[in-house]
Amino acid sequence: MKSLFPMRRSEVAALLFLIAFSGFSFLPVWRRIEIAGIAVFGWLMIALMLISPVLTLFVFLRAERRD
Amino acid sequence: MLVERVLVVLYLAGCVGIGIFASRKVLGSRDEYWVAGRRIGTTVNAMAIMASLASGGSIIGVMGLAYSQGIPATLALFAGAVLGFPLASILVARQLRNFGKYTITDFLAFRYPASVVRYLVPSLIVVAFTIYIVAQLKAAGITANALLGIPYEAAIIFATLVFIVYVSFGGMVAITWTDMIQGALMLIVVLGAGVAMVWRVGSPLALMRQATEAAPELGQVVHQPVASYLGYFVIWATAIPVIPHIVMRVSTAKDAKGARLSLNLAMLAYSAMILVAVLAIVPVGKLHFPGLEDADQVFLKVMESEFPTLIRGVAVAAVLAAVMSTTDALLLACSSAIAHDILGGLLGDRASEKTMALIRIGAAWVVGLLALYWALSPPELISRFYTAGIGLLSASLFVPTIAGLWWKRANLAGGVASLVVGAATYILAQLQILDLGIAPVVIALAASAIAMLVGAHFGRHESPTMLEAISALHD
Repeated sequence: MKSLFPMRRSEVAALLFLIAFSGFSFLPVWRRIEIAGIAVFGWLMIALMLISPVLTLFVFLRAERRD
Repeated sequence: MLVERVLVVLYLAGCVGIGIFASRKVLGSRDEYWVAGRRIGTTVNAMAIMASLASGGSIIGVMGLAYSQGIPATLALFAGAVLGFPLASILVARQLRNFGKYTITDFLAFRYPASVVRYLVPSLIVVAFTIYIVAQLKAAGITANALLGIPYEAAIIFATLVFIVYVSFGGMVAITWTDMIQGALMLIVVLGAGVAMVWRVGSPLALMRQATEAAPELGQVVHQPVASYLGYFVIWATAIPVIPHIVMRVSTAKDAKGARLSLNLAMLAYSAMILVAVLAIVPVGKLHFPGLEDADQVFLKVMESEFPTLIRGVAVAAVLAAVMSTTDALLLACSSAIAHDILGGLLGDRASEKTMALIRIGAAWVVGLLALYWALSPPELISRFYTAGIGLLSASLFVPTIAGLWWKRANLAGGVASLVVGAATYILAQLQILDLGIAPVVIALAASAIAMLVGAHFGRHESPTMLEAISALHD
């Protein structure tokens, strides 16, 4: 990884988690299963829209506090 | 409609007033005109970023789409932008703010110093954003016609002249303040309406249960294959870090910390607005107005049936605010591509500040009037074209920008190759000359990344001076 400029571990982890979560959400199986009248795919999208801003803000504020 | 019309006229007059007031300060300085002197506070910038991204589609369109295509598919289309914000905040905000210039072209032309970069990037921006502006003007015309009874042509001529006046004379200062007001208005109207809807039923889950029992299709994935949502998702996820009107906002922040925090807060606000619109207002629309022929009417129908006249007037102003807040930012970014990136690059230091001020104003008028001319008889599929336009920017700019900031082996050959190959592949895939059964943006991003790798392998290594300069941007 010497060919990359350094990035904070927490930021790498947040990015990888969000990208993996997005990929997981788009698996075709989640389209057919429903919970409380909404396809799991929909619940995963709702979760992504909640987790993404909160996680990124948390990572940012924690890094700022450490600095 | 008198109350609605009076509120809208007052609102538009306010926008022009802000533009004229700001012009006294900004016309003589590039820094003031393009990036508001780099002194915009975090909260104001966050609201302005949210408003720039949230177009008419984010209020009227998102609810109409959820009503007709169901909640899961709609959220998939809008979640891409929500993923794009962390990418922008972590991957580009600090570095581009530290870079200290105005536009994405400035960075790419510095990182990959070649004429093709200096002129191809702004040309792509002008093409994509002009289409985007036409689509927004069409939305403004249709909205004003439906809500205020004003003829389509008169509405867009009037609206365009208002945009052009306050953008061309007031620059980034004017659009920051108008966007902040517009963003706050959108947020208050959508969140307020959503909370009122949920309050009456007791909880969001109870509301959702009632709606999905009455209309099961609301919670299902219907009509389209997941691949089509994936394409839209990827376009917006990769566009946010490089799209010019967001990048310019990053440059307006006081410092790198402010730039990142404002992106994070904008993402929270945008996410909350979309979720409340889809999960609280659409279910009420589905319960009270099943079988609407024009699904885009659902928000206004709900506002009409549930709230008094004055609140409805504010809601109409909020819809127009959504259209305007995106269009003004697009117009400024588009005129910066012409006046700063192309003509500024050609003229260099030979043009006086007065000449450059005239060029800046002229560029906004040329782009605005051209878009107006096209919007008077727009193509039927303009809404689809604008997404394709944004896809073109993602496909061509994402890889060279991210690699240019983070990969030490990214070099001139790789940068130029990834830019050109990304754009060309996307155009070929959109025209179905290249059809692999995958979303065009996914093919183009992969092709752009491969071109970067090949260029980096066979091209000359980047100079230590350039690597030191890029390294300094990460501090």
